[in-house]
Amino acid sequence: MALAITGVNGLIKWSYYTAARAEGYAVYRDKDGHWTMTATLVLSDAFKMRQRPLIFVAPYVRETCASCLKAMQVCSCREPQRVSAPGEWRWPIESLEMGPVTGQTKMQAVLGEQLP
Amino acid sequence: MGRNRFVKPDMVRLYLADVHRRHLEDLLDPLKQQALEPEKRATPSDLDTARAAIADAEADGAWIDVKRELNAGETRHVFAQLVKDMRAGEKIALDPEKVGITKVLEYLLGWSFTDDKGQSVAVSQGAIEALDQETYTEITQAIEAHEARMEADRTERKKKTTGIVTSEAISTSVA
Repeated sequence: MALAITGVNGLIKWSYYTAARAEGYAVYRDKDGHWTMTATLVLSDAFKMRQRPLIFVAPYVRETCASCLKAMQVCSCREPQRVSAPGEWRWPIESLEMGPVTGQTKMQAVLGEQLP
Repeated sequence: MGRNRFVKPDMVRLYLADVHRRHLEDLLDPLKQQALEPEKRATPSDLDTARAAIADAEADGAWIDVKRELNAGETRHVFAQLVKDMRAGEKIALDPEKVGITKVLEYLLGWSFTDDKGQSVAVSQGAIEALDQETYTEITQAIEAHEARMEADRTERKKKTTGIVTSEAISTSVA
């Protein structure tokens, strides 16, 4: 199983509500293209977590160079012009399991296809 | 099974051009105009201005996304934010700085507004307060109209429900 994305702060959303904050998440994609994720839940709302559909949201900041329009990591301009644009990756949660592990609420979920 | 009493979190898109369309409808409504003092009634110049505002707003295509309905907690939150002081037996003192904006903050989820570079701007209290006065007024009027429409829908739904449901005796009394 290949590790795809890790992050510090993610969100579990029910429509426009935040059902929980997912700390220290890791999203995996296996060779068949199936997505799964694990995280520690904080500030979760029991009612909202029971609703469906739930969406896992992983926010990111994309840094590009305004001169060459390439990502900053591959920009080779002499004077790069850094532009930051926030965005987010989103997946529908198809099934999830939650449970206490050493005093924290851990979560494992099967995700659907990444949303546009 | 009883009705679902929980608010479903749905989102509605409101076009700001509709605010100007409603304003023109009010100017053209003879009943509303007759209710005004003569010097406050719409003039041909007012109608032209209103039509120009609609054309501008349509060309701009600006919209806002709002919650279809606030739930009980959100409604209480709007009220709690608005109240400055509340004592038993006395009039409630409202915070003038919060009037209007508490409802906008609770309803507003997104908008089409962008910055100078054409990048979308996230909705926040800071961003709302940085809007020009005209746009802020358009937003508050759009939300007020949406809320009135939802309230009218609810009233209509209740009328239909009370028309269908009857409470009849299950069994007649022997006595």
